[in-house]
Amino acid sequence: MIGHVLRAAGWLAASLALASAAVFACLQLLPGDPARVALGLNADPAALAELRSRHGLDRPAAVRYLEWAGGLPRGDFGTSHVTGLEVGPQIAERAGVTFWLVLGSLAVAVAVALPAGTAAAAARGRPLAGAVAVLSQVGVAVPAFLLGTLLTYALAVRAGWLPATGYTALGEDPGEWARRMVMPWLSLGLVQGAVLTRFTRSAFLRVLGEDYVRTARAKGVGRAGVLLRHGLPNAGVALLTVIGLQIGTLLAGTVVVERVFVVPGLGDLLLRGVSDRDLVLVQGVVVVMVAVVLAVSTLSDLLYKVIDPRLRSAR
Amino acid sequence: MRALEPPRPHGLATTARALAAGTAAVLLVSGCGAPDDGGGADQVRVGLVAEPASLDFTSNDGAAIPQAMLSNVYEGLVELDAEGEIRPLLAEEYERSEDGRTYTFRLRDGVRFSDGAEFTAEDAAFSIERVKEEWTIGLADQMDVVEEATATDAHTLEVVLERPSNGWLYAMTTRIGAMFSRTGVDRLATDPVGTGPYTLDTWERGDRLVLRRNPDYWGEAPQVPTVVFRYFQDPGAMNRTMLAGGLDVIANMQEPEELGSFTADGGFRVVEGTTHGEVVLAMNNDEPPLDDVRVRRAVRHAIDREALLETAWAGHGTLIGSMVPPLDPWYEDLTGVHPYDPDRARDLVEEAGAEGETLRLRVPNLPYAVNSAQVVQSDVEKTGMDVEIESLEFPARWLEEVHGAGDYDMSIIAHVEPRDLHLFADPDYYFHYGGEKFADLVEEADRGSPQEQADKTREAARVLSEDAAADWLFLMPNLTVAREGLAGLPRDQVGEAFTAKTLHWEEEG
Repeated sequence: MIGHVLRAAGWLAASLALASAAVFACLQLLPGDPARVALGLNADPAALAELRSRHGLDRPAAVRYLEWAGGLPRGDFGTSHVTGLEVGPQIAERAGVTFWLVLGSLAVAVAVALPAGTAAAAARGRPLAGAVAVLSQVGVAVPAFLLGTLLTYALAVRAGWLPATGYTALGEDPGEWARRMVMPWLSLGLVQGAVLTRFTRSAFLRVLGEDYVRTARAKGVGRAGVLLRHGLPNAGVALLTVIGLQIGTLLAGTVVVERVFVVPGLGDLLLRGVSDRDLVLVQGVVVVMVAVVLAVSTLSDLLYKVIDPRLRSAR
Repeated sequence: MRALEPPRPHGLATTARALAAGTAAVLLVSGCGAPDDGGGADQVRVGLVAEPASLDFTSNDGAAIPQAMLSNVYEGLVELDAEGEIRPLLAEEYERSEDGRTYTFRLRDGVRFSDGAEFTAEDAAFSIERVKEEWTIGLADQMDVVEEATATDAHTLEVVLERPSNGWLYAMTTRIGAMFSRTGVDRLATDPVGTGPYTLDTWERGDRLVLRRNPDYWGEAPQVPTVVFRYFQDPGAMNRTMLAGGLDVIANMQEPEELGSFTADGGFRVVEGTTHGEVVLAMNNDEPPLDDVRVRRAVRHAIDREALLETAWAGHGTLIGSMVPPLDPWYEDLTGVHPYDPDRARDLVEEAGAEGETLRLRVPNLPYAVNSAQVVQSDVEKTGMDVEIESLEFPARWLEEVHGAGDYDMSIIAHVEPRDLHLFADPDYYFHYGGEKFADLVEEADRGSPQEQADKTREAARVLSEDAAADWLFLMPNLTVAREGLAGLPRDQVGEAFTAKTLHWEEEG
């Protein structure tokens, strides 16, 4: 098992190094001059050149990359040329917000998908299964921002139950924090839940077709018992992988949802950074997001092997 | 005349109600409370677009910075009143010498910065010099005309100009004229120090900027203790927050087609005023075929601006015929110079031999520009020329390619700075208009007496319009949506700032 962990860590480090180079290279190709955005409509060429040289933007890209990437392992994300502020603390502050957003949405998604998917599998061929299939199809087709907008009209504008937008820090007032996160969680979570429901259903169906399930049933284990004792752990392995993959989709979804609900997370920071051409900030945020996705998929890979011993011995 | 009532989202609301039923269970767990975060008489919550990247307007050009900081946290020696006239602020009075080159400001006594330091003529001289020495934004060159600024005693400042300039005194009412403390300029990006009626309380990035009443303010204390600026990247989110009770004002409505949702029954009031934001159809005066004045005039004759205003900004706004808005004292209605006349437009294009020419209309990806571009395209194509629309990301790409490199035939952008007619006088500016008569008039206006300034500027605006240096599609309105009971909002946007000190809640009657 230790061998697995070491190998996985090595791959993770290599992928991160490659990803940071790719992110940096992509941003170099982005059209639009950061100095011009900062100095505005009437900036003269001398002032633009001065600003570029002050921030070292006139040096070769390779030098700038090495300088930036060299700081990353120490947690040094560099200093923004646009605001003059350090990027690391800004990312740290926003990452917590996005973390709770993703976690809450995931909880909503699992809370919807597990019962719905299991029920659909158990009720195969009956109207309930059909209803779940239709609803999950609708959920897959509705984008999170549309669901978010509809929720706001319903729960904030019409009913007046929840604030339409805005954020309160968890440490400041947990109740208010939860009230403000409900709609973002639902918007992201219900859409992801729909996707997950379909996976859960097919995973359970596959398990229910296995020989050991027939054996268990023959030994007199009840329908529910089979689902819980054999179905859940086995379908769980498949689900874990899907959830691992969905972290990336969820992170991408936060960009839109944070904008709709004005939640000050990483996605909001990213969009603003792109618009201001705050490249140091943008590359920092993207690298953190890529790192999270890679780490989660590595972790779910390892967990997979813990849960299912067959995969461990296969290597 | 088409009715302007926008369609209400009925279908949406029904779907939304169904969704509401479905999610009610979750809400019970989360607990239901007051409509939105506590509004009240002790604060005003203002919705704005585009959060500032930093609070330092000396090194970052973003309009959101002076909007929040100027007249609230920072003050100048002079300011604009609600009618757009210059009046003293931190200066009690000022005098202009006979030759127009020397200004003497008599400064107020007992003014303190929020860091406790006293405001003196030394600070004023320091602030003016600093614009020339340290500021990096393009606007700072408006201070170049200053030869010397000296404190002749603790409360008297003398400023000598290289030449007489009316534009300089006007610029002193903008961010250029903000007064800084000699000991308070180390962390401008996050910790502004000024003499204003408010001080910065907190700035929660990505969400809100909170100003608190300055207890040591030299002037009349503002009535509202706390002002919250909330920033929205998505105008739709701002509207929904206002509807749900999370805001007291939308300072400058960006979706005029949604104004119908804010009814008096709902407790809202809509105020329509005007601005300095000329939506300019820029034409590249350097490149064929638009280097030919006949073709430029043809473009102006071709466009049905009334219809365009309906499409682009739901009919809100004013038609103008040159780079001067009605807020300026020398405004003259020039909409008749090249009126909508498609036949004349076709004749002019034929005369200039420009049929079949292709014009690249490269616009920023902003709603008013993209909407206007489609009308311009369909109107101008009726003259026999082709128009290709390309939408560029704003600000970064548009600034670099159109504004910076001049790689365009036509573009559409709102020039929001006050009194920016002079932009056309610089032949290197992206219009590439080289009218000498116009440039001379602009310079004479800047040097002259108030009467000369008005006469020459009026004439310059007329020359500019007759030369069809550009087309002026419309003037942006100032659309403010306010909660019933909030008073003291300016009708027009005369300067760069959102001034909070005049706001107050009316007593419930």
